[in-house]
Amino acid sequence: MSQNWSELPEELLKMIAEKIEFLDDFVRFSVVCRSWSLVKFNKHHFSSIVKSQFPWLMLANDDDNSNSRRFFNYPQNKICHMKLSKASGCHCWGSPFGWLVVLGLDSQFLLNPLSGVWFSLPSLAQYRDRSCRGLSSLNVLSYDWRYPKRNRMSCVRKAIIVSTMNNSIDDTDDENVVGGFLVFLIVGRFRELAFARPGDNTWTNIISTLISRVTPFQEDILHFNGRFYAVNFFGYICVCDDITTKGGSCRPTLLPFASPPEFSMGWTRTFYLVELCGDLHLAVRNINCSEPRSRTVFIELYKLDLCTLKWEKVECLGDYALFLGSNTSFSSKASVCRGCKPGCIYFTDDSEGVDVGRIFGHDMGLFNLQTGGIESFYEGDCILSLFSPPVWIKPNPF
Amino acid sequence: MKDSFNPSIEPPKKTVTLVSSDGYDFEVEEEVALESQVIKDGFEDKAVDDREYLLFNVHSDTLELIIKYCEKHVSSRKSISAAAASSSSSNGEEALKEWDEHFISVDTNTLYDILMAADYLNIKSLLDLAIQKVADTIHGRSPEQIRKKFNIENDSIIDPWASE
Repeated sequence: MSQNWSELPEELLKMIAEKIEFLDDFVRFSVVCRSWSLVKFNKHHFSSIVKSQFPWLMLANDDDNSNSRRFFNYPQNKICHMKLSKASGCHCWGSPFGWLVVLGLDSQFLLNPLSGVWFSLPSLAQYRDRSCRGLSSLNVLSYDWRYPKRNRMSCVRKAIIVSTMNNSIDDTDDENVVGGFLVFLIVGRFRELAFARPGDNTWTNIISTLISRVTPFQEDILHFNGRFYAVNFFGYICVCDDITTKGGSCRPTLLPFASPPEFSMGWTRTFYLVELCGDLHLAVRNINCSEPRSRTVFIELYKLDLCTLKWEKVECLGDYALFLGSNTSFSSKASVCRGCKPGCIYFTDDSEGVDVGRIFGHDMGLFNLQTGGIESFYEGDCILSLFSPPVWIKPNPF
Repeated sequence: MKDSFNPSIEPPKKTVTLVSSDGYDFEVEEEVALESQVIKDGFEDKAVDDREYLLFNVHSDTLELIIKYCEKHVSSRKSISAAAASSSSSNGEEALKEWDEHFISVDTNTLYDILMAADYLNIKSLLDLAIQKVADTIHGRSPEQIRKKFNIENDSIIDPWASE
């Protein structure tokens, strides 16, 4: 008798796949052997699993040339190794859509680490000499000529994925998974915004007239109620309405929208825009940079009333949690997300390399908005990196 | 002549003969054999009263297990509905679940045979049980451990996962 599990009829394999309840099990199932990997999964069965999945923390490379990356599954306290040779030596940004923005020295693309599917993005060559060194980069002398390649990579301050469709994976068809995505970069000396769709030939720059403090030095962008909102280094909110989601020539312009809230002073700040319960929120992360290792001290959250343009300080997140760092900022409903603590802000290190060759990644933790306490959620290896620290990604194989 | 038909009189227990792929005869009660949707369908279609079924795909070792499973389920169902009728409390369903769990705790070769037979004979509850067992066995194991457990050769062209 031959009991050959690799030759199980597809119908039975499908039935087994539909009993799988965890995303890690699903990923492992699909790489056991060729026939198992060919099973067409029922996307709808997995949509609830994907929705309830706590984001994975993609850890830093062991070394720049390593072909694999580790993913930390926090609720299960497990680490999965995955071969991602394509992303070796690249800077990666996470997202809640299952996709990473991967920027290498000569390559740039969207990558789904679970399925291995990727889509190329336009070349960054046009930004070659536009190093990003924070405000000090106003001084051209701070451009580091010794590390041209590193400068090239670090000229991007942040990469953000925006979905212009309904976020539900039930609505997307197989052919056009990334069709509704826009990738935004915060790029160059003045941290301007540029965007592209997967498959575009060039990045479209968003014009920002240099009104002092109001429009330069962007920090984050959010697609909310059909408009694009950006926050800058000083906490000013700008809006951009003329970004077309379907090609065509346009000259999108960033316009002032709202003044910053009266946030606490005294620390170095990083701003994040995030949608929460149908409202636009601004998270203000206060970082102590006076020590050799900068660390987050506390995070404040403000809600913007879009009619009165007044800010209201938010003291409690309710059932929600936020995920901030080198990723598209996102919120998650804790009661549907397995292992997620409500009322908490999970943050990773996204400080910029002010000093060339500085290793970063350690400023990572879990901030309780109500109590103000900070605890750590990961203390293993692969935290520190020269250019690609740990990032949040909500895994989605489709 | 309607009056002469009395449904309350149970017909005498009929039996069916199941023949395994290696040529062994198994005589089972009709209602036990009818747990298999395939046999049931065949039963309803047949004009002639043919009471012998050749199961080309099921070895006698497996068939013995399958019959054991079906007999247990038929008798449990009876006692559960009897308990419900007399409205006496019964933990019959839980006991059956426990029995199922014990029944399916077999090595992977036997599990494979049960799975294939349950599929071939179309016994839905048994198929579900076996499928769930396979999924449970996969849970938490690395691809390499899964291969080892199920004795599968790694013929993946790309293996993005290293073992932990």
